[in-house]
Amino acid sequence: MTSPIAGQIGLRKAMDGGEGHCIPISHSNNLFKVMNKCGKLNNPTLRLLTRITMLQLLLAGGFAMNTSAGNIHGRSTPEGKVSFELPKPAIKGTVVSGKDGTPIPGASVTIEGTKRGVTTDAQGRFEIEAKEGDVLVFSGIGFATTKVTVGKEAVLSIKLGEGKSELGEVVVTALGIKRSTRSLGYSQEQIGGTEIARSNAPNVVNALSGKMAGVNITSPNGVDGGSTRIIIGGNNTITGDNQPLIIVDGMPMDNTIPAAAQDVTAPKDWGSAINLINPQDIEDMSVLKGPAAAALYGGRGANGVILITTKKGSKRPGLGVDYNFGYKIIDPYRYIKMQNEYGAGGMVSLNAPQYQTDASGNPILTDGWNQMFVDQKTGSGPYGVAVTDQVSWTGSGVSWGHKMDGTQITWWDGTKKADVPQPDNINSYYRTGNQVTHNVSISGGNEWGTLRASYTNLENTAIIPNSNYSQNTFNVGTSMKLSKRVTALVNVSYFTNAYHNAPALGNTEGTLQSNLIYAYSRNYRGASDLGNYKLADGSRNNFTNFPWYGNGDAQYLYWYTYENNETVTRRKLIGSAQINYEATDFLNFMGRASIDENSNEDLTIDNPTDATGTVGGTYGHGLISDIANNYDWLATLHKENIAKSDFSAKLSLGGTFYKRSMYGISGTNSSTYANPGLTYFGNYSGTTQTSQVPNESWYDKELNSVYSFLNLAYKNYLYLDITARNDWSSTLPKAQWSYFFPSFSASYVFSDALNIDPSVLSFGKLRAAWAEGAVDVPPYIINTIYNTSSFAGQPTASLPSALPAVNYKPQINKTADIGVNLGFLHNRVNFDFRYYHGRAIQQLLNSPLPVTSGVSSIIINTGVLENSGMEMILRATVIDKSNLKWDVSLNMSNNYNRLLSLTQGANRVDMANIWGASGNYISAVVGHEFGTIMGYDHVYDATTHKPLLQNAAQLMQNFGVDAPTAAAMKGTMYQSTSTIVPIGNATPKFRGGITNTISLKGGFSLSALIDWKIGGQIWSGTYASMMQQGTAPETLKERDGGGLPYTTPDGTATKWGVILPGVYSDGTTNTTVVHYYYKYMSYGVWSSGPNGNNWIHSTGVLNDTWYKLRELSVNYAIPGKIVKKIKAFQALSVSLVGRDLFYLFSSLPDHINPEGSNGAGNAQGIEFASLPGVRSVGVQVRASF
Amino acid sequence: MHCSKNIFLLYGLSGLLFFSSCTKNFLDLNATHNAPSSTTIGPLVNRIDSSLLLGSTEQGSVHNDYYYPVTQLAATTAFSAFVLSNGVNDIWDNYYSTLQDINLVQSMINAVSDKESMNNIQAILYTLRAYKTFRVTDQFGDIPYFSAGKAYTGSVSDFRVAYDSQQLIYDSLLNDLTWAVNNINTASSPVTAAGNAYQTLGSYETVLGGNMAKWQKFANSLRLRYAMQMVEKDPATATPIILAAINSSAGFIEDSADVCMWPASLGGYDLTSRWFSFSTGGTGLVRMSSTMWNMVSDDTTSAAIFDPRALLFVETNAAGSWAPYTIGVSQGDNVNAYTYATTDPTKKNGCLFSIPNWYLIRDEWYVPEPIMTAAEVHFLKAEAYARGLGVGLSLATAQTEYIAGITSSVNFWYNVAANTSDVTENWSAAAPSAPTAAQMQTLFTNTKVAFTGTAADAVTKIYAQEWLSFFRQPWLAFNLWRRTGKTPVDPLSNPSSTYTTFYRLPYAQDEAVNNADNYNAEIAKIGGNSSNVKVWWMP
Repeated sequence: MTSPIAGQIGLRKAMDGGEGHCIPISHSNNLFKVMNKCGKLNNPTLRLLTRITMLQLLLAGGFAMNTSAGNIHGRSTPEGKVSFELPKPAIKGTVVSGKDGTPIPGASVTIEGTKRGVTTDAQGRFEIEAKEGDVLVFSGIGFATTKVTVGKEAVLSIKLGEGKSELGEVVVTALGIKRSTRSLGYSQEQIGGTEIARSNAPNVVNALSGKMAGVNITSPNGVDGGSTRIIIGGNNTITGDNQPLIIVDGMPMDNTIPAAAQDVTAPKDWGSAINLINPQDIEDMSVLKGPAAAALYGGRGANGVILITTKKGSKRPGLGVDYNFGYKIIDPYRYIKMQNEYGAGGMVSLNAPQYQTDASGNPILTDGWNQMFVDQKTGSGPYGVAVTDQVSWTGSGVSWGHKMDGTQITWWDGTKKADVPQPDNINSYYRTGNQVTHNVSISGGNEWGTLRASYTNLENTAIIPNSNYSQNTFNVGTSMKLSKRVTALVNVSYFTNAYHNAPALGNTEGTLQSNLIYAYSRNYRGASDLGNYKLADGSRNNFTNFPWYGNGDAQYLYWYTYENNETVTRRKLIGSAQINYEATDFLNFMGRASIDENSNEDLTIDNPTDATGTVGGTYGHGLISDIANNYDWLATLHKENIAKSDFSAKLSLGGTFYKRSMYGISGTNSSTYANPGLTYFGNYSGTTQTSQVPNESWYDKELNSVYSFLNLAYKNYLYLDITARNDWSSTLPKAQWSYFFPSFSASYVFSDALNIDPSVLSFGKLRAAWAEGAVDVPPYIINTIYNTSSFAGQPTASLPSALPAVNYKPQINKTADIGVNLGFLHNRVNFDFRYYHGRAIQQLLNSPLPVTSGVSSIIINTGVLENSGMEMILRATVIDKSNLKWDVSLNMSNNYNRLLSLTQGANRVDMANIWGASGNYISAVVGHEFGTIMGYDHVYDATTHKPLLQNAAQLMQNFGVDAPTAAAMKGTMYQSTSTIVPIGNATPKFRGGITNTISLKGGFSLSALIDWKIGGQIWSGTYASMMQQGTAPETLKERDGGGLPYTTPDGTATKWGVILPGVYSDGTTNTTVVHYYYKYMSYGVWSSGPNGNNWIHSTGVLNDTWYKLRELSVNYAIPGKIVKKIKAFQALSVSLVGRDLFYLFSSLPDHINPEGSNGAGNAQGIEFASLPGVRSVGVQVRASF
Repeated sequence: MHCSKNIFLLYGLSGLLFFSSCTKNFLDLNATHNAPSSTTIGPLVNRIDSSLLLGSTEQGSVHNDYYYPVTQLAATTAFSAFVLSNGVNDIWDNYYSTLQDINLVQSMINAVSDKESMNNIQAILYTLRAYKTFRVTDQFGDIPYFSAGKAYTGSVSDFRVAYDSQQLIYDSLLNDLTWAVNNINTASSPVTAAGNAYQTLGSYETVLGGNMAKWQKFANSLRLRYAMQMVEKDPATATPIILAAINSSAGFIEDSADVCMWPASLGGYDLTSRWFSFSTGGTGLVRMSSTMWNMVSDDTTSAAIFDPRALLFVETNAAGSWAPYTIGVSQGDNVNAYTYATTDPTKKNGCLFSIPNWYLIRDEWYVPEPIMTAAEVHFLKAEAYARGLGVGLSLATAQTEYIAGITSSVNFWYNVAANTSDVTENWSAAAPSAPTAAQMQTLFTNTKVAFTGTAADAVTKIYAQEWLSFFRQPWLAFNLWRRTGKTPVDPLSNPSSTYTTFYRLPYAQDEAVNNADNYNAEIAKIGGNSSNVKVWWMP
């Protein structure tokens, strides 16, 4: 390959072109770095040479030199001669985080005023030649730059406070290429692995919550192990995936949120692949924001990219062993607030609520369903109108009944009990969860390379009974120097995750929450009402006469919890092997092969419900094999100071071949078993195979790409990037499967260009980018396929009811992105601002068509979605003393995401709905912001804008009552819209976070992150249900005598009255006092009214603004002196992290979970039966041996 | 530098390799695994055949809740839990999804170069399309037709289409039927002028077993039915068609060759929809109407029954008595008479009034859904002769056809009962034996039946017997009632205006949402999407 002669030429050239004719040669890890020229530290490395090569080269070049054992330093003289001197005494030391004392690898250590510098190894150690009086500048990604003047001490211990600096920082960009941030014309943020590991977040992406501008993390209900929705900026597609591409060491990793977790009615969330990534193994994570940053990923990067680089070890003497122990408790603490005064009873009578009675007239709890809707005495509801007609179907848990005043009543099980409040039934089901993590890693390195191997075990116990998961991670990372020009990087991670019973969320009777707000009255006694869920013979206790069966199964809560078991076991191998070949001074090649192999198993065993063990059981078993391969190559030509000019250029040409192949097969046996309790598909009585016919699923895709990019730099302050990529996707039609994406970005460091006085502005950069992206489609959907069946013994075929598009085109996104980056007071204060504006056209949408067209929908390339927003980051070191440092990091973002148009004749696309046509929708509506909540609303008077009440004629028509009854009912009912209309919007106005970090002398640091969401609404089914059913605390007001004077039909004078605010069609204001029921009846949970009298959903739309103490951590790095005394350790640190500790403010009433939106899909904004808020407190101990 | 050159060469070569193979497997890779991406006419036609079955919600919410009480063929004690709009959707969705498949078959026929070889298949397709389209336009009035069901072509103009006038649809469909009658080749192995064999559907045609003579008779019979349906409104167009149909050598559906969906002949089809529509929770409210009872019996004793079909159509109440329900007068009995009767016909849930025969609606394996019976043809011909429509007025011929019609209907239902012998619904064991000649004579001579009196009396009796023969085709009784207004009505009944002015089904709500412009134009034209707007052929 390359000979020393070639190297010599390169060296000579470098020397000749160098300012002052000096060739700084620094060494690190026994490799010599030849700097390009004296004056500049950026674009630093021409080549890496082994010491031997260096010696050969210098000797071959006729240079004189001196060597000493192990160290060599060459310096040219101003006359052009090169002399080599014995190295000066080196300064050694470690660089650690001022926050928690953890070592900072990769921090740069330079001598101010020179171009000499080194970087720290994995343990944060460095060694640099410096003399007394030199000023060492320490900087690290994510840390504030620190300067130390060299004194007598030869060993330094440097602590870096958190902070950001744009100067000379190197970050990982698209395709894993490291670049100086100053050269980037687009927005990107990076976070170190240490910080991620420390956050104790449910997964590595959750750790970004509140820390990055415009990176919106939603984890419904905040359950560990569940899915996390990541949106960078806003949404680019209405029905497709809006999440960024996740790349682990060059391998794109599928992170599709399972369909069951996107459901808004009853999501069941097993989490997505990102949950498997182990924070302990992460070197750093880069977030490439928007299409310009991610242009090299083509369509797959349209939503941004998260690049995860895993650790590869570092050179160190001997083997380094690190051990991390983490323990956290997960505490459900924020339970819903419910009233504790009144018990079971429907809105059946306008007189005082009475207990229902048995045949002998003795009070009983309730008879179950019927008398929740029909007054036992009248056989009807108020005004003789069925309650279901007046209030639709409330749950069986309506609590408008008798006061729980201790009256002895016959309980549902026949026993006599005092009817007393049960305030603890809201927490009767939950437990404190915990998570234990052990991580052991071994790393080491020598001149041939570095290696790190780690093993992690995690055991998680959820707050839901009988729900837990365990996870094992094996990770090996290595960087090898195969020859002087060839290096290889290999990373392999293998994960196993066994998840037993993911929490069922939303509208399910398998967990407490929906039962609490829908099925159970306030007198529900918790487990004592349902504890004996299993009879002695092993069969299910059917709880005969249990009154609160909800939709039918609420009495089986504990049976479902313990006897219906589903375990999902995931095994994942993700890895890549990369070879870098430095062919010449100006030409590099990279080749990389990666794999993401998944094998998932889903096992369901619902135990038979009868004593024989043969009836009522279900056995389900599915296997999915999912393998993706990715092959990259990249050739790069680069040239600094072209023709001795101030221009540098880099031109790359690369390609990718990506293939994914997935096949799944699953079956269910829900027949009567032949062999009791045995779970296999053949276990059915009878001769006909019925439910056991397997389901199959497929996913096949190939995506081939070529790309090229050109990076131009002028004098280190003006940069221009041009990228071009062409993809060929197998999922598009032949005429469309090739598509092209260009991008341009520019960066202008005007502070350098204009030589601005650093005391005025220490750093200033403008950046601008424009990119066009395109998104392909999922496999198979372009195919026109026929439905087939059989009729009369012969095959049938028919066109499907939903047609694919006739001519698919990829969706096109065009985004412009501008930003400014300013540093003040020697970069103690940094400010970054970004504005972006994009349009996504040719949205692939399932457009509803009238049935008269032959189909109910067709996929068409239509719709323009506009996405614009602003992001702001402010980082400041408020106090910078040797014994106290206070850093503040603030980020804010807002996003405006609006649907501009759809196809003619259509004005909305529904993304999801709860309870079908009887419930609410989350839709994209033309002219509205993404995420419109649709539902039935009041009808508003055109002049007064007050809600209209039903007049006598409407009451007569809607309830089938006569004129006198209608007159009596005056003032009870609002008018409702005849169809669903926009009633709210879920898109927040602002999101942000502020982190304060205080570092004290002695290794202590304290960090607090507060994040917030301002604006955006949810339809809270919990609230609507609690109001309508009389379980919300708010419903006590009138019942407890806080209303207007009202005389009941039996003549009792009360203070139960309300006036429904509003007007009548004739303009008169409503002044009629009616029973308080009618105030609460207008909270529509679901809408199934008679004769077009729909229940109003807009009453359940609430503003959802919150501020939260997201993260509070105390870190203590035990000082080296103490550690050394212990002798067992080389380093020891302890951190205590509280996460999701409490809300400083929430606009939602009654402790409804502000982050309890159902589902992790595009449709956000529906809440129903969200879990209690949880917080975690954890301790982590890190020890290095 | 040689090394570098080699590297370039290597990269160049691998690059070329990459490009050449870059899209090679794409089509195979993206093929759907579990559904075909192409099909042929045969399976498509079989699917169209399968669409001739009635929907369960159509029967529950449209037939049982409206057509029976409107025509007084039966009564309901209350509206069922079925919702009319769901029944409308049932009909609407069935028709338009099928129309799309029909259009696809038509485009496949059009693509054949020797058109004549497709004549028999074309005739079947025309007949199926006419039958289905007439049913829908009769129920709704104007409907999207000529451009409807073509979304699959991808033409945006076909996504939302305008409504077509019922008259134009009638004219077009009758032309199609005439073409079918005239072009069906019933030879055993017909050959085209160009020497190609006629293509057939083989075993894919499952309703009439691919029998082209039967198709020809069916098409001709339909021509008669629908010419008669429009005769009051457009006699100039209708009467020549009536004449042509009667004179056609093709003939009509013959006795004992009634065109029906016979589950037993459809590979043992399980016809669950009928029992579902009568018995599901919140339904089971259909009762024997006094009007119908009056036409089969002289009083409420068993001895007074003069029409043998009475014992097949209806049965006694829970107490074992014949108890007709007088529409708008009788009260109560708001119970599902079939709740507890899944396998036991004696469990009538205490119903106060007589109910439709349990076997008639319970059987899922033999009792057919009639499409067009020989009896109906007889009655249509009887009417043509009695009124001199197309043919010359001849009461004698009318009487012959009238008697033949009644006889055909009685035989039809007695054949059904005698052959319904499923293990759980063994009607053959429970049903009375076929009527004797004497019993038939009793029927023919009953004053309510005897073909006596004026021509107008004769026509009324024809209508009455045709109406009765439609006992399980209430949609045809509804057509007859709307066209003639002379089907039987119990003078004691007092139906509400809901029933007396129920002239059409309202359009599906889907149209108001997804085809709003065309829908709004149409309802502005007809005066609202209400059920009391008359369809075109109503006088």
